Amino acid sequence: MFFLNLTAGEFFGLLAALGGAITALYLLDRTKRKKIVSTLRFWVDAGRVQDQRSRKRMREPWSLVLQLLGLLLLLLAAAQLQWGSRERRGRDHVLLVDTSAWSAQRLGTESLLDREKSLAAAYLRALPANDRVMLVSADSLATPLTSFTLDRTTLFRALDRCAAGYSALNLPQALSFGRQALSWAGGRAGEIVYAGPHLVSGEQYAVPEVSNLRILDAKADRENAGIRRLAVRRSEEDAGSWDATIAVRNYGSARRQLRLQTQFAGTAFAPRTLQLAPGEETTAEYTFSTNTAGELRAELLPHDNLESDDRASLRLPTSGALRVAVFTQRADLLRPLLEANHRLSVKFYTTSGYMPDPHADVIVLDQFAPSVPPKPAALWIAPPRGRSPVPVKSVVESTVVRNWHADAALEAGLRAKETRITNAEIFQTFEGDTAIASAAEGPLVVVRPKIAVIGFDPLQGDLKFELTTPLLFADLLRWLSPEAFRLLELGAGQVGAASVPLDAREATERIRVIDERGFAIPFTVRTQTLELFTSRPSVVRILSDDRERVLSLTLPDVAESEWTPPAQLAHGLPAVIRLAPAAVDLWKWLAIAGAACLLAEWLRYGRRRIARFQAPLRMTA
Amino acid sequence: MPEPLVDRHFLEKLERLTLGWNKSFRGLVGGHNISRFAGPGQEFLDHRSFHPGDDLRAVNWRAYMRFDKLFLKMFQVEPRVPVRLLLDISASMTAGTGKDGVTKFDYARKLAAALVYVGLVRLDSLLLQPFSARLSDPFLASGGRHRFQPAEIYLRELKAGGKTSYLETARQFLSEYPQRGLVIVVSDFLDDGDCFHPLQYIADFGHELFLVQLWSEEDREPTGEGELELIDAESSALVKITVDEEARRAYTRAFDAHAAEIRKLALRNGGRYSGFSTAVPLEDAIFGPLMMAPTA
Repeated sequence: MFFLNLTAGEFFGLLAALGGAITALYLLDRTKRKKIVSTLRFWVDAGRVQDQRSRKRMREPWSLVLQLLGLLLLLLAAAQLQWGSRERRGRDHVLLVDTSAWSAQRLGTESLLDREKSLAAAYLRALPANDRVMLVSADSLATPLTSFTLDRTTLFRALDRCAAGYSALNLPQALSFGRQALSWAGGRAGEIVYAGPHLVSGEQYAVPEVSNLRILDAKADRENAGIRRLAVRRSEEDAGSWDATIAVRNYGSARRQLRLQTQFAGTAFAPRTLQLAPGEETTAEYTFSTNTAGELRAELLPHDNLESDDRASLRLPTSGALRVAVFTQRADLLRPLLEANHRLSVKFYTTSGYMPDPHADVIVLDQFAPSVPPKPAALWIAPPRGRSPVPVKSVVESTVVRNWHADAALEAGLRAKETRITNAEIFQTFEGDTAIASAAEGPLVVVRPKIAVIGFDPLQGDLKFELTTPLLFADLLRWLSPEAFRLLELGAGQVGAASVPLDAREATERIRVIDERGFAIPFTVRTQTLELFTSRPSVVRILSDDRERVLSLTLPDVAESEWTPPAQLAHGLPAVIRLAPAAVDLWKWLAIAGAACLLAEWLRYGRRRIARFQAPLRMTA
Repeated sequence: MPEPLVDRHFLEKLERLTLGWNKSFRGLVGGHNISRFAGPGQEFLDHRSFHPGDDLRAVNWRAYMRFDKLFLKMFQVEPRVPVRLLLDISASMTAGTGKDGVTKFDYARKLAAALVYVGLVRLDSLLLQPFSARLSDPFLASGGRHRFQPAEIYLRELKAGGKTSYLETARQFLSEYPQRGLVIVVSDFLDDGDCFHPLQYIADFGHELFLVQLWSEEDREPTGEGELELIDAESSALVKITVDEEARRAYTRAFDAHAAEIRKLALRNGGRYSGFSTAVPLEDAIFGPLMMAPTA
């Protein structure tokens, strides 16, 4: 006879504490209560006046006995009292099946994961029937597939459902989880069994010592080479050009000659041959131009046993140039100002050819106010006074720009000396308007959502020769269409932990990380490096003020190092153990008996206690 | 400002009530209940033979001329009968509050205030006479409804305490108030001594008894079970007792028997009896059990 859940000390401690509390409450309930009454004349005949000499100290002793007995039985039930020998009781085991990226490796007609499953199934068959097992899928995360169960059918079914993952094995975390699971289960701790190739990432050498660890060895063929990274970014010089970088690594122990094939939208270009020494990683760089969207693919040939890292692909968007439609009568003056920026795709129209929706991202209306307002965002240059989108308060013949208002998105470079301008419109601003430039008389340049208005002609007077003018145009266009100016970086990386270095001027508080469905992904920023984690292949977008990074985390994280288990650990399958039936569980019967005791006490004594305090209110006349 | 014992709306409802009695009393002119005793009234009642000393103005001279014998005309009288309200202010009236915290003493004061108002509306005089071991200082309420406030203040300022002694109370009452009238006794009738004989003395003296017995729920159906130390509210006597369901049933039976005895005493002497719990709202009590109090 032994306790499963509580030690004898805990049991008796609890029994003493609760029993003492019950006895104290019992005595308190039955202590004599003083009561002031109107008369004693009826009581003397009705009640039993006590004889002090023979007064019993304990009234209703059976009530106390039943309560204590009920408590004892319920505590024994909670302690899971069992009848039998402790040695013949079942044990609890945690079975870790390696589902890291290596487990997808093909070994002949089967995969490495199939071998692991066979070993795990054999281990389950070798265990005594009364041993409970928890099945855990171990890759970068330890994910329990079952609870501790005796049901072998459930375990085999869960084992069948195991699928190879994309991340590297985090063995310390898996072992830590196994140990915690054994301690939380409350049963007799058995073994933590690991079935797999015990290949871990380089930084995971510190595998904790676990004395009850058993290794079911499933050897992997480590002769593998794969793509580790594919990164693409838009060229700084040309909006239609892309710079691509592909990193390839030889994980094996033999020198390998590989052919790296790349293609964009189905068209192969620039194949390369790579010579890779054991453990060597090399990088291939490409620059190509395209205005169309398409898929950039890279493939390593010949394929090896682990094909999942032999291919990588990225979806590239169309050219990011901002389409600008300019309606002006002086295209020659504006052309050098706007076409100097390679991120702009500018078309010029005369004012007579105005159309409200000219298939452009931004419209520039130069000294002209159309009858139909433009549909896209618009930059107005010196609009006619009566038809300005922002009301003109007054017109001054000559004034001086006193200050350029500082704003995070608009202030860049706008720090000119005091500039004199002629024929300037002073605007009336309202809530939500932002004044960019102001004179003593009032705002000269105003922005509001989808509208920017310049109240003077920047191509005349002193401003024509100032650097402020192109910067003002650039900043206003960026403000009207910020996404077009966002720097785009694309990359394909490995599943698991990803680190992205940030620019020093990127504000970390405005960074957002979302997946392909738009859900936020948790991340941290440490020393200007963004860190995030994905346990399965996904496309992650990192958005900041002027930059967008798209990470296609679809490449498998192939572990490079092999952990060598200590020799004293158990290896291989255990001998088949057949035990006689285990100890008999008594807790159900104890719980029923305890409840019966409490119910009997309630029926016999408890109801009356309640009734005493609920005397009916009767109206008697 | 202290809360009034009875609110204005309730007082308005009381105006349609009147204090009545069953017996005929000799009394002064000015009442509203017809008496069987002859007196200086307006309505003819009977003739009787003239005796020397009778008022010659009441001689029926027509009958004398016809029969040559002096007959005296007797008239029906509506005497003003003294109404006295004996209010129990002993300590037992404060024991055993109801669920709303109202004691029998509070309830009795409100009831007395209501009865005073009823009397004042009909221009009756009503003597408030508190008692416990002895009679306390009385208060005579008369002069119409506008004199209600002093009576209410008097009642509000009454303090409960002391031990009940019906015998001493009855002796003192009979010596101080020889004129017969209606005696309303508002009490719990829970004294350690005997309340029946003193009440019987009052009835035998010619007073009409209207016994109003008040009890709290705790008085009639006490709660609590097990070992109890019961302390008498008046005498502070202590009894250690074991109470169970059977004991509480026996207690209620004894209480009901006691109430039945009081009722019997009142009815036997041509009076009235009404007993109710303080859990019954005062308005319901006045318009219910008090108005419909059984008579002999």
